[in-house]
Amino acid sequence: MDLNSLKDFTLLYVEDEPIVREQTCLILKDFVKDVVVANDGEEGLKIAKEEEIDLIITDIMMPNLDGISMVKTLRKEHKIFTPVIIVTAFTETEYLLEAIRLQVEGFITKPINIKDLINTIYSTLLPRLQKKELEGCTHMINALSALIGGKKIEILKYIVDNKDKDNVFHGSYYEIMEALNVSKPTVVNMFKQMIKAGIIEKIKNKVYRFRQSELLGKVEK
Amino acid sequence: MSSPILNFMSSVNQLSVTKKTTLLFLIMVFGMLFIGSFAHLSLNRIKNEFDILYTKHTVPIIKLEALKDVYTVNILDTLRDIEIHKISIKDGKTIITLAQELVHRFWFEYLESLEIDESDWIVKVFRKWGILPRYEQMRLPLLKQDLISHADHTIGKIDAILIQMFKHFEAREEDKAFLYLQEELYPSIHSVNIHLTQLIDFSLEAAHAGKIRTDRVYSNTFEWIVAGVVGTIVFAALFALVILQNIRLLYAHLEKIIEDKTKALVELNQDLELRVIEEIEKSRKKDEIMYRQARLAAMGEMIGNIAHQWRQPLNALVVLIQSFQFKYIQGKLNEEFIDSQVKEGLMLAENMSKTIDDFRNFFYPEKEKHSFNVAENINSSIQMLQNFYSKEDISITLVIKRDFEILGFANEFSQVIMNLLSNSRDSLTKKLPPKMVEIVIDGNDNECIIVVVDNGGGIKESVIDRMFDPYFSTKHQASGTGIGLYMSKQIIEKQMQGEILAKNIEHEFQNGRFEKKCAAIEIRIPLSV
Repeated sequence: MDLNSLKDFTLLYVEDEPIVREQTCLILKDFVKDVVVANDGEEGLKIAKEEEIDLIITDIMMPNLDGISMVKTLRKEHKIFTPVIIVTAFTETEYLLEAIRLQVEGFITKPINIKDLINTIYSTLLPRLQKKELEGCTHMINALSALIGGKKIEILKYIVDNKDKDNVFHGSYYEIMEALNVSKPTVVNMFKQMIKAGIIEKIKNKVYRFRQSELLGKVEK
Repeated sequence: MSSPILNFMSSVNQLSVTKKTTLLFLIMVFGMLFIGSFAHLSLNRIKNEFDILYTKHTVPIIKLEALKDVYTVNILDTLRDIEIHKISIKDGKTIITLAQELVHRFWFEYLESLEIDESDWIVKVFRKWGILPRYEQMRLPLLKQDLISHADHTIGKIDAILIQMFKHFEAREEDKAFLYLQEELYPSIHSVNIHLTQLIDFSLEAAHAGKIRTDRVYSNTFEWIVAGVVGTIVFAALFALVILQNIRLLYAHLEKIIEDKTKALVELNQDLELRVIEEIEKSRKKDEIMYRQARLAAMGEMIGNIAHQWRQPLNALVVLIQSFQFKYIQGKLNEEFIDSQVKEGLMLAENMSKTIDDFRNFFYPEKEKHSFNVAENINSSIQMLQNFYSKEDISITLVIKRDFEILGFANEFSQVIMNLLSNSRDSLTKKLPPKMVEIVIDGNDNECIIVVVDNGGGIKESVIDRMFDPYFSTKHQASGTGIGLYMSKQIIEKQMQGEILAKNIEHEFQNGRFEKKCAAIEIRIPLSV
């Protein structure tokens, strides 16, 4: 887990117990760009509506407006679907069904284990991170495609599209040629270049595998 | 033979006392009646005898005597007087005629008297009623009959002689007359007198017989009456004795029954007394148990409160401890941070410790009554519950219109206040804000009045009369023990000599809000001098 990857996000932390709020804030501030705090559901709702929040971490039992109601209002009335992590104590089980129905993104229990909290934040925000990355990649590819042109991009796209879940491509040059209507030398050259660059490796005839890339981060097997 | 008598006696015995006394009364009445009528009867018989004696026996004697006298005096003397020329013949005749009339009259009356009914009075009564045939003259003894007929004959003869004599006189044959007199009249009169005297004797005899009869009747009657009286007395006395005996037995029997019953009652009474003492003891033990239960329930609630109060500092401490680790990872662990965190941590821990102390003090049973300030006491209770209430958005306010020092057990009073506040909280939990609880301290020179008001909608009519009863709860069985209000009432009434009551009121709260449906529990504590 790359903790640094969280540093661009803004959190909203809604908690009515002041000391807990302070202490948790103290720690979280080091990991993210900003932590906005709210005293109760009402405040939280207001902030969630008006400001750019990437993730809401909220307690349930609070005066004025409880956590669940806040999330419900936010989603159903204001159609804001910011991811939410619920912090729950042992005594609030009745609210949990509602939380499940709302499909909140994460649960942690009180007393707060910070490590768990951070892990949950990370896994909740990961899609966003990944989306960003993906967007970046797509943009890059499109740009490259426009700038470089040629069939190479198409072939690459074909291979990537047809690889299996183990990042292994089963296929022959011939198939590629037929599918994309490209010449054999183009295909052969490309494969040679990629193997040289270490992007794919040949396992056996007509079976190639994509090598692990730093770009996408460590994939845990 | 005695067995019928015994049967009879036993059946008599079995009669009730009332019947027996009635029987006795009847016996006496009939006895009296019997004696009375018997006496009356006898008296009548004797009277009858007496009457007969007079009319049939005495009067005839007189008549006969008179008759003799008439002959002797009226007739013979008159004739003598005529003889000696004392009176005229004419006068003499008149006199003698009169005398003859007298004779006939007397003789007639005598004969009549023979026909008097000399039978018994009762027989006479029967004859009168027609039950017996009319009196027929008894056949007289032959001698008497003879005498009567002789006398009658002689009287007739005398009459004839006298007629003859007067014939002589009117024929101025005085000598013949007087000769007649000598030869005929004297012997006849003498003869008639003898007859009459004999008849008189008969009458005397009859009278004598009558007397004897009377004596007999008298003695009989006397015997009978005596017997009757004695018999009645004896019988009545016996019977009375029997009844008396019966009454005595009955009395003794009843007395025994009463004694038995009294004994039973006394025993029962003693038994009941024992039972009452037992029950009182049991009740006291029950009260003790209830009190302990109430304390345990209150303690349980307190522990809940403490747990709740500890949650925040505990959560905070947990995060605080982890903060050291993460600051280190980030490389931001410096002395300043450590100092401030340690300080914060220690404060939190101290807070938690204080909560324990408060708890222990709260439940420490006091041995003696002390004077304590009402406002302070209530305030500290509110403080202990403050977090609990704010989490649920319930505001508690203390309004001191007048402050008091009262004598009592401060902790127990706090428990009462806590119980009331807890009940208010329970009623407000499911309601919409604003949720308000207000405690007002007020009073006068005689008493201190504390009112706990909440705007939870009031107390239901069906509940308000029973809410202070033990084991009565409107909460679900699991959460409500139903002891709190009962114990609160006990504490206020028994240990502080106060009153506690519940009512529904309209109230204006301190924040200006006027609520129509408020529940109010009012405590009145009298102020000791």
